[in-house]
Amino acid sequence: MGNNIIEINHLSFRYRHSEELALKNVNLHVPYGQWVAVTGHNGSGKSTLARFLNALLIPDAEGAVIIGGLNTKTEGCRQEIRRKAAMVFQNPDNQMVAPTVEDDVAFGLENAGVPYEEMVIRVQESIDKLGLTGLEKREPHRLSGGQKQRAAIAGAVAMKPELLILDEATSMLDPSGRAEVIDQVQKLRDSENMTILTITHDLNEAALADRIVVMREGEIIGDGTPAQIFRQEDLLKEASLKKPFIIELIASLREKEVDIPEEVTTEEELVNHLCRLKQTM
Amino acid sequence: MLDNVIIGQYIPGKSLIHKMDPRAKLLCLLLFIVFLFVSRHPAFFILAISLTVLTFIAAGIPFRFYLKGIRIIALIISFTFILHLFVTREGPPLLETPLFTIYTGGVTEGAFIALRLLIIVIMASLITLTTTPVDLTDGLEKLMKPFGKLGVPTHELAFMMAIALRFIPTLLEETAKIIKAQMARGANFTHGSLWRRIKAFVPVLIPLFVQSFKRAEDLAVAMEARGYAGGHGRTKFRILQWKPIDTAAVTLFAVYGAFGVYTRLFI
Amino acid sequence: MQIKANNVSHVYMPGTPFEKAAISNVNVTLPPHTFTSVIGRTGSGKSTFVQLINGLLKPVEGSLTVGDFTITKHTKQRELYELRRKAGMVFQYPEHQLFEETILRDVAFGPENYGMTAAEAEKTAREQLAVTGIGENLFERSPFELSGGQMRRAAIAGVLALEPQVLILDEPTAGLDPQGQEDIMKMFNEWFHSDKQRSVILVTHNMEDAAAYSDQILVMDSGRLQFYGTPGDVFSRQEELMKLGLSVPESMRFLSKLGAKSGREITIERFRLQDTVNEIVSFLGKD
Repeated sequence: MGNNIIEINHLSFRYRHSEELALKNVNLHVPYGQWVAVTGHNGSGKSTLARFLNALLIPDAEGAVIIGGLNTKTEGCRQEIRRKAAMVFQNPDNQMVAPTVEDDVAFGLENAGVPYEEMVIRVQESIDKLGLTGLEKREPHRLSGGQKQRAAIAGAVAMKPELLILDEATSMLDPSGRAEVIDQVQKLRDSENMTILTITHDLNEAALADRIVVMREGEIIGDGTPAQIFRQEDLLKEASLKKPFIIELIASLREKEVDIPEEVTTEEELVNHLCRLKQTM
Repeated sequence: MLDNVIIGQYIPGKSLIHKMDPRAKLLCLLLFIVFLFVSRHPAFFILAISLTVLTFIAAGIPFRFYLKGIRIIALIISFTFILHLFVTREGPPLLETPLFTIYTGGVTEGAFIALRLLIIVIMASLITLTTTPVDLTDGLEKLMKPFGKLGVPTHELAFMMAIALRFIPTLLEETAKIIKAQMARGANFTHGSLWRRIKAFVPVLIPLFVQSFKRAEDLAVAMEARGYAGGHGRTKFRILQWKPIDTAAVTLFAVYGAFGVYTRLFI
Repeated sequence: MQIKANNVSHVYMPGTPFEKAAISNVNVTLPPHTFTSVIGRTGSGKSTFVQLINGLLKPVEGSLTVGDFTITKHTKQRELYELRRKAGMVFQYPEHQLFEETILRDVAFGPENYGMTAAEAEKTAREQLAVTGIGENLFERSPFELSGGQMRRAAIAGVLALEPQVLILDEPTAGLDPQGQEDIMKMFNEWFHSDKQRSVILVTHNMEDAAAYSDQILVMDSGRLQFYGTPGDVFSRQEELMKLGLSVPESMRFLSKLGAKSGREITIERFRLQDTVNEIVSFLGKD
C-alpha cells in the first residue's frame, strides 16, 4: 500500500442537477514515479477524476481517494494534499492569478506561508527549470500560450509536489506551445522523478507515458502500457479515440501482410524494420 | 477601438520615479490632490505646476503615452471649463450677447478648474505609468492596513483589485474578439439611431458576461487548488522597501502642502 | 467567387506608440470554388489576412477583390457590411459569440441583421442547424445548456445562416476531441462540395487537415506570404517549412525518413493512410 501515491477506491460521483453518473466505481492505484495518461473523449469523466485528486471534489460515503497516504475526506489534510498534488488546468488565461510570471509562480508559496528568503530562491529555481528565465517580469497577456502554461507548471513545481496533474494542459495550445510543454514535462520527470498524471485526448501525447488509462462515460475501460492499449482496436473505437498515425500505419501494413513484429511501435523502429525487410527481399 | 485605454498601462523603466516605493508615490499623490484645492494663490499654482513638470521629467516617459489617456479626460476638462464660463457670474462682464453673458470671473474660474484637473490627471497617470499594478495594490494594501483593525478587509480588497487589473487586458481582447464575431454576423455598431447602437451591444455584453463568469469560476478553482485561503498566514513575495528618496519625496510634497496652507491663510 | 490580394499590407494601431505591422505586401489569387488552407506560426499574420478578406479589417495599402467587391483603405463601412454576408467568418472558439435565449434565435440573428423577416430567418436557421447536425429537440434550448461540441456546431450554424459563398474558418477545431475534430472538418468539406459557388479558407495548425482537404495552401511567416501551391508542392519543401516552425503531415514525414534511411527513391507526397500503405508496399515489392 505504501508504494502508491494515488489510491482511488470505489469512486462514484454524480454532479448536482445531472441524471447520469460522471464517475462509475473507479478504482485506480498509481505507484510513485509513474507517468500515467488518462484519456477519453470530451465528457468521459477524466477531468472530473482529476478534481478528486487534489481534494477539489470530495467522495461521498462509499468511495475513497488517498493521496500519499492522506485521505481527502479528512478536512485537516486538504491543504497538505493540495501541496502534494499540484494541478495545472486547461485554459492558460484563466489560471494565472498574478500580474507577472514571478508573482504567479510565488502565489502557491505565499499561500503556504513560505518565508520570504526561501520563496525567492524557489521561485527563481522553478522559473529556470521551466526555461522561463528572462520572462520573470512579463505580464500574462504578453506571453504565448505555451509560456503561460509553463509558468503555471513552474508555479506547481515551486511547491515541490510529489504529484503533478496536468488537466488537458495542452489542448488549447498551438503545436509549438504543445511541444514546449510536453518537452518540459518529460524533463521534469527525468530530473525530479515526479509522479505525473496527464489528462488528454491526444494519444500521441499519451504514448509518452508509462501507462494509459482509458475512460468512457465515467468508467475505466482500459488500463495498460501504451503498447498494450494501442493493440486493442475495439477499445479505442469504443472510446472514440484516434490512434497515433504510426500505430495505425503498422496495423494497416499488417493487413497487407507485411510482417511487423510486436515490439515495433515507434516511427524510428518501423523505418529500421522496413529497411531490413527490403534488404532481405 | 479599445486599445486606447491606458488605465493600468505600465511602461517599464528605471527612472527615479519607477524606483520609488508605491506607498510614497500614493502618499505624494494624495498630498498633491488634497492641497491643490486648498489655495488659489498664483505662487502656489506655479509651485504645483513645477512639481508636475519635475515629476514628469524624472519619470522619463515620452509625452505621447500621456496623450492617449488625456484624450478622453480632455473632453471632461473642456466641458467643465465651458460650464464655468456660463455659470460663474463674477467680476466684470467680458462678453455680452442677448442670450448669455460671460464674466471674467468665469474665465479665470474655468481655467483654474481645468488646470487643476489637467495636472491631477497627469500626476495620476504618472503613477500608473511608472508603477506595476501589483505594486500599486500592494502599496494601497499597506497604506490601508490601519483600517484593517476597524474590520475593513484590506487584504481582500487589494487582492480583488489586483485580479481585476490583471484581467483588464484579457477582457479587452475578449471584447474586441466578440465585437468582430458579431460584426461578422451582421451586427452593426456604427449605423442607426443611438438607441439602436446601444441595443447592438447586447450581443457583445452577454457573451462577455458569460465568459467572465466562466473565467472567474476557473480562476477560483485554480486558486483553491493552489492553496489560497485568504490573507491569514500568508507570506509576501513582494516586499516594499522605503528608501531615502521616498522620505525626500514625501517631505517635498508635505512642504508643498504647507505652502498651500500658508498662502491660503496668510497671503 | 474569385479572391485576389494585390500588394495588401495591414498595420495595427497605426500612428500610435503601439504600431505593429501585421501583414506586408501579400499578392495571391484564390480561384473560384477552391478550398484554401493558410498555415503559419501563431502571430504570422494568418488571422489578419483572413479578416481582411471579409472586411473586418481594411488594408492600409493595396487592395483586395472578393467577387464583385473591391476593398481598399477608402472603402466605406456600408460596403464592407455587404461583403461580410458573402464571406462568412467562423472565429476560433465560435461558441463564445452565442448570446440569445434559444439556439434557434441565436442562429437567426445573422439573417435578421441582413433584413430577412423573422419567419424567413427562422426557416434558414432550421435548415442550417440541420446541416450542422443539431437535433430539433435542442432548438428551443438555451445555447448555454449545450455540450461544448454542440455549442460549437450551433455557433457555426449561425454563420452558415448568412448563406455565404466564402466560408472563412479560423482554427475551427481548436479544443475539440479527435472525433469532434474529424466530424467538424467533414462537415465543412461537405458544405464546400455541395455547391460549385462555394469556397473555403481554412486557417489551421493541423497539417493533416491542410493536406487532406485543400486545393491550395498558403504559407505565412512574419506577415509575409512565403510561398504557396498544392499540398504536394508545399509539403515537398519540408526543410523550408521546418525553418518556419511548421511541420509536414505525418505520412510524409514517415515516407521521407524511410527514403532517406533506405537510400531509395520514394514518392513522399502521400497524405492518406491507404496511399501511404500502398507506397510502402510498392517500396517493399520493387527491385
